[in-house]
Amino acid sequence: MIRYDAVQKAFRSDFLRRRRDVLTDLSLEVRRGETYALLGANGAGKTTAMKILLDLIRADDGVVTICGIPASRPRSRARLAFLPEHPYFFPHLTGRELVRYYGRLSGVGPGQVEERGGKLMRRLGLAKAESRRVRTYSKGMLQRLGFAQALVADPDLLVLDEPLSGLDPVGRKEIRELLLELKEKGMTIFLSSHILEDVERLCDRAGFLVGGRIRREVEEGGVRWLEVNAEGIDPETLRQGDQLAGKIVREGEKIRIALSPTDDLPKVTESVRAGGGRILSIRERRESLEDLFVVNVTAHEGEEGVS
Amino acid sequence: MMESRRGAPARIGQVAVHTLKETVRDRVFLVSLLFAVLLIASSVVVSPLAAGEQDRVIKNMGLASISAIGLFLAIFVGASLVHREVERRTIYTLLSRPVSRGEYVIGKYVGIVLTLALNVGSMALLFSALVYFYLDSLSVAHIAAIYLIGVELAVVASASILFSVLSSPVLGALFTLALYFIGHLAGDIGTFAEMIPSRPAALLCKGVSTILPHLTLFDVKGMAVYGKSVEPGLLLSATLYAIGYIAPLLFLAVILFRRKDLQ
Repeated sequence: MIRYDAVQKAFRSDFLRRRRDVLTDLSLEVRRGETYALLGANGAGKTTAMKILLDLIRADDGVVTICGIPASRPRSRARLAFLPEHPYFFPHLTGRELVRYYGRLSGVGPGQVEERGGKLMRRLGLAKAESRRVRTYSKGMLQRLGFAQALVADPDLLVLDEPLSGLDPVGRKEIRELLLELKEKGMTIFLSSHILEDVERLCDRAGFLVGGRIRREVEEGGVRWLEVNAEGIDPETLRQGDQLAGKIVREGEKIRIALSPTDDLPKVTESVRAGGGRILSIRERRESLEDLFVVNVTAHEGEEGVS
Repeated sequence: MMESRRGAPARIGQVAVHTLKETVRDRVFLVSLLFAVLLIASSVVVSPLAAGEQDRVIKNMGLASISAIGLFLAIFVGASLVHREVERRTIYTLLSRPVSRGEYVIGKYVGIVLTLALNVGSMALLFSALVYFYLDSLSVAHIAAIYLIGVELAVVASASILFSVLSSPVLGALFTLALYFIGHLAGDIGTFAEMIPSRPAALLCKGVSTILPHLTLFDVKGMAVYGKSVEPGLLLSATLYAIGYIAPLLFLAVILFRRKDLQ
């Protein structure tokens, strides 16, 4: 549904014209119906990547498409709704007027916009505040209003920049539940975040944006692997017998083999036995997003020059 | 391409109506109207000082007030409209809709023109009522003068939108104000070009005079005050001249705004 292909973007400071590369080679794909999280440190280029998708910023190079339509065409945004990190709305409008305005801009008819707007305001607990000016709204209310304006056009694709940041625990729970509900309904959601706990609960896939490109992508639930502990066998015999180079660690008399889900476990255990070894335990291990974040993002910040 | 243009008038209309709402709900609009009421009404108070010329004082002050207050709105509101939305970041959610940047800029322009029309219209009503009840001499020329004030403001607003895309509100307002004053001198600069002996200087003056809008073309306030009639041909040619000016300025504003990264 969304496709970034070798996207590059550099900004130049106004005064000295110094070049700062933000995206160096961003390629990723968000599939229909999927919830995809873009993860990265502050300043890694997550917002820039989203703004390029929305054509608020133009890429220097590369292609971005939404449902196959280049992002530079307004038509590509016909079925899309966006919620920025800190929702900024026109303070002079009432909540209801704002939802109406955005709905009409997306081409929703006048009758439908009233019906859907009313429903959404009720669903999001804003019914009482709908005739109040937006400037009187609290941060949590603004975030909910942000969802109302986004959903009034009945989009297929929701683009959310840090949707859970700056909210109190109750607000975060509400938004998370709403996102889960939308996900169940089959909405494609593309979000950026650095709150890993929420991402872990919500997303099908996540990509780590480091140094202006996706360094690693992980599926739901982080990375799983199998840990096989054995003894009485020389790692060298195993390495030669199987393609296990780099996966075996010797710990005194014992060895530990880390297998990815695609490796052939029975074949490995067979090799251990055939070599005269004994299997001590086989355990499933899971690397949390936090571990991955630290490994992929924090560790590379210095070397990649991310600001 | 055709598909993306479908519904463009509706989207431009939405942006325009919203802009009107935004400017009308802004304190500046109300203050300017209040000021206009005070100015126009004060002409009645001041007029007895000019014995025998009461009629002209009231009309002169009234028309000048309409023009000045309208100019104030066109410059100060117009120059901040686009910039303010970028600054407040309200533009992110707006342009993430299927709205093109061109539709947005034109919608903003139509919105400010609607605001000016409302402003000039309300002041004109007050002025006409005053002239009608006090002097009993409201003529077609007055209406023509007010119409041309409106057309002139539409030209000024297109310049302020262009400057608002290009620079900050303060600079934009200054540029537009400068353009307004030089625009009123454009005719004189042209005449001056024929008088100076230095050829490069004459060419420069001529060039400047050609590029700048001749805003005196829209000024028939004197004719209205002195009871002269305004030819319909003049109204038509002034309107066409204005359109000929507004269109390229807006086109330029759209082109520049399209190239802008909204960080």
